[in-house]
Amino acid sequence: MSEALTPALILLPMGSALLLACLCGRIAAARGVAALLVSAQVLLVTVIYLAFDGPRLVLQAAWLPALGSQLLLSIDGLSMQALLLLTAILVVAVVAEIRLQEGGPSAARLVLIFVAITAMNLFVLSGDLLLSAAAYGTAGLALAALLGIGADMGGQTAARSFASWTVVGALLLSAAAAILAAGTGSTVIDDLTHITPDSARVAALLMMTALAMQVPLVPLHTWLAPIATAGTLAGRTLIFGGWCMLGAFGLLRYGLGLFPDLLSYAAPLPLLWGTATVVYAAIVAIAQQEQDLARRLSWATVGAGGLLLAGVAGLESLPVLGAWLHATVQGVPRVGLLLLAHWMATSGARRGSLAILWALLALGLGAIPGAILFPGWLLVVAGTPDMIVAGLLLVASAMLVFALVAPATHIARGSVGPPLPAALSRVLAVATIVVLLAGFYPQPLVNGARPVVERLLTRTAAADLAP
Amino acid sequence: MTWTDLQSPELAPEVLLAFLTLGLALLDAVLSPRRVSHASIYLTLFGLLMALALALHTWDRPWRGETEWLVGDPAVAFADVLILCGAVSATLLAAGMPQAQQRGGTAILIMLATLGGMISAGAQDLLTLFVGFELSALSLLAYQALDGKPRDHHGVRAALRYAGPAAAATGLSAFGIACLWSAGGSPAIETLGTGLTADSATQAAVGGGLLLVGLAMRAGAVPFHLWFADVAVGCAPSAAMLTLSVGVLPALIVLGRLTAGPLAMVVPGLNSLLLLLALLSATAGALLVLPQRRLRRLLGYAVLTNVGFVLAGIATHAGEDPFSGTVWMQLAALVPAVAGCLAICALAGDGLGSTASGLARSRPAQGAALCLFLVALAGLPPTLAFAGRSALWSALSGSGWASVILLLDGLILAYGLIGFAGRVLFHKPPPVEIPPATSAILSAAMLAAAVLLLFGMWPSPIARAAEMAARGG
Repeated sequence: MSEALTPALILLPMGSALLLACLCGRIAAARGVAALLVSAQVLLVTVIYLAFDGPRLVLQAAWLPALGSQLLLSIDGLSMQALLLLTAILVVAVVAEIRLQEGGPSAARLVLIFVAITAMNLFVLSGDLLLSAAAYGTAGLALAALLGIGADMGGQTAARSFASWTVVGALLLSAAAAILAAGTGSTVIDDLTHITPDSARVAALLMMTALAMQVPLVPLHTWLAPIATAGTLAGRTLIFGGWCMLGAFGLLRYGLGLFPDLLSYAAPLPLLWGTATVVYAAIVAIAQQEQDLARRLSWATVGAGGLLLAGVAGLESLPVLGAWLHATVQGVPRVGLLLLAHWMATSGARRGSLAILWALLALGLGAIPGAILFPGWLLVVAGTPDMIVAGLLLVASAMLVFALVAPATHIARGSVGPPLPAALSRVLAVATIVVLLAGFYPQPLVNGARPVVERLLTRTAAADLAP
Repeated sequence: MTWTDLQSPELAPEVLLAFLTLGLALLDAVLSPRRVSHASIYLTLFGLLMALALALHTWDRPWRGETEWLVGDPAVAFADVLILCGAVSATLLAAGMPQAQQRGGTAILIMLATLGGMISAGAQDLLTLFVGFELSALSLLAYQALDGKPRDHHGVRAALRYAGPAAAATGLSAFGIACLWSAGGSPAIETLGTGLTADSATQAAVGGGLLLVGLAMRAGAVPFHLWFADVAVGCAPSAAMLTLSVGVLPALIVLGRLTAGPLAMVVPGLNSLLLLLALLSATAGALLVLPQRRLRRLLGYAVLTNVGFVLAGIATHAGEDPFSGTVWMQLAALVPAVAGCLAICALAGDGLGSTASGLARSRPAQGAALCLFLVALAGLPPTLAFAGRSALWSALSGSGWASVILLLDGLILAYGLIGFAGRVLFHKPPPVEIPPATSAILSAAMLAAAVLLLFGMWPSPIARAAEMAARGG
């Protein structure tokens, strides 16, 4: 059943975008239709999740025969989890657009939300590198437009900057795919097993750069901080919740999946890069003003990217699994904090209940024991082979938690500002419950991702054994 | 050429177009002076569409037919489809402009120019090639001059800017053809490199070099690009589109055919020379895109960069017969992207100062379409251009520094075009009156957007046809 329904994960949002484009100018109708289409998307993903019983190839057709590129859609544990998160982020983005956006919703932005989700779903499902590059570029450009349309000057500047980084990433990714196609005659991931070393080095460098921009990792992170403070809410939600998670997904699927031997060969460089990113992000996060919640959050996001790379660089089952779990589920608390920070910044609200809510989500994002991120974080830090690096990761993580939680004292001072909007309070309540309660039972997440991670690492072992 | 030759299906589009042109010219002569109407331009559109239908009928089939003057194979059919698509777009743009009513007779020039372009793309020998180029160049010059608004002389000035390089290209090509014919003893393209002695080889190399320069001039490659932006800015949108379709495209196609065939044997180091032209064109075009604030000039330099990328595709396959499918795919994306941009220029008020700034706020659909066309010119997804550009990166993967420079050019071009798209999307529109949209121009824009998007999401049919064209059947 999941095989038959999976292509609908692309077709439904694509059709939704088309339908909403036809409703441009009739915003009331567009709002209603958008709500309906989001419900349909949620239903579809839920059905596919319930029917999912293992990795499946769902569609295969020639896409660009000259390069051996195929429209190859497949679903496995990693992509299923990524799809669940993307759908959750889609719901939050549409709620943010319809209920929370200053100046009211816009049909053009609703169209762009669905275009971006179509492309992001394609990125997750695609088993072909060139098609993924196309999805990367499409999603990035749609998100940039979404971020800037109707935003103030700061938002427009942030959108331009994001678009430029996206264009660079898409070109690098497509160039990497083209280089691999020239060497092997295919861009399908499973066919790229015998890559010549020279081609592999160049392609891996290009691909790593593109994905490091997406995650993001220092020094390719400069686009993130402006987005934290400016731009439309829906755009920021999708970028912080979905786009960065896709970078983590790409790093596992393409970085670890295609170049395990190069990762192994480059060790300990990836581990050091990841650790340096976490440490740098933690120091800069603490240096931000206490009132500047969004910027602190953006540095926490950069730090999470570093932790991901440190975990992947471990090339062992547990740290890689931990890195994935940590990178995936943090989209939920991160988006909650982003919306809360935006609302407090625009309304000037301060009170004890907001401080508690902020602190709960911040502790969840900081991976305190019992929260959903804790198992992933623990696996990464405990699985790091070098004790000094593990210590650095531990201290930097603690600094990041402190950087996020400390502003709660500032928020708790006084009791001013309007009450939390109903839509936002519901979103935050759901996010908090998911973050805190799912942490007590992380087994489904682990069970879903573990076989795929082990399969990826089998390729590593095979690459190590190869002459 | 016998009557039987004329009946062969591979020549059907050319023959149909020739007869229709003749018929339309006779009608125009008999009925002149006549009342003002759009009849002439719509008859032209009808004729071009019929020719396009005939070309599409054969474009993805493995076949080959030859007559004394013209060759017919999937590559020529692909070229015919591209040229005809460009000409149809130009005719739609012309049909939507107000001056089309006063100067309906100029529409015949579109058909003549298209016929010339198609003849040069499928020529069997150098003389037919020359005749095709001259037919298209002369008709194009007249059309550029006549298709503007009657009282402003921008079209005439642009035509004069184009006339110089076109005349120089004619002279150089004629001299080059004479040298090649004299050296090889035959004007047939297939036999150009055969039976050469040491003396005649030098003569053939000189001839080949001159022909190459003539073709580079027609294609607008750097350093022969100075007419490019002036034509893009000065001409009416339909004339600018026709310049691309019957001026630039056939030159690139013929250059590709000759480079893949005998010219590589005749001119030593041809692929290096072409790669140099490609690097110069792509780099100059990309750098010149950056400071542009006006849409038409930006378009001119973006096309120049794309010409550089096409030349790079030709250069990587020099000596291979026939030349690469990457070139066909790039050209297939370039035609609708330029047609769409020009259509939006016409819709948005085609003043010389048109910046299209804030167009997405005043006319959201047109603004979104313009952004799509700019994305296509940048070679980005989700447009067809992404597939062509990716194929080019693959072909260039062993070219060392040249591929790095071209990749950087691609980045600079994309940066410039996306920055411009940002102004279209985000800026406030200036308080100027926008003329009402005409259905013909809207159709051109919608068709271009549909082609770019649909084949961008599913490039397989075009890729297969391009591959077949590259294999020669």
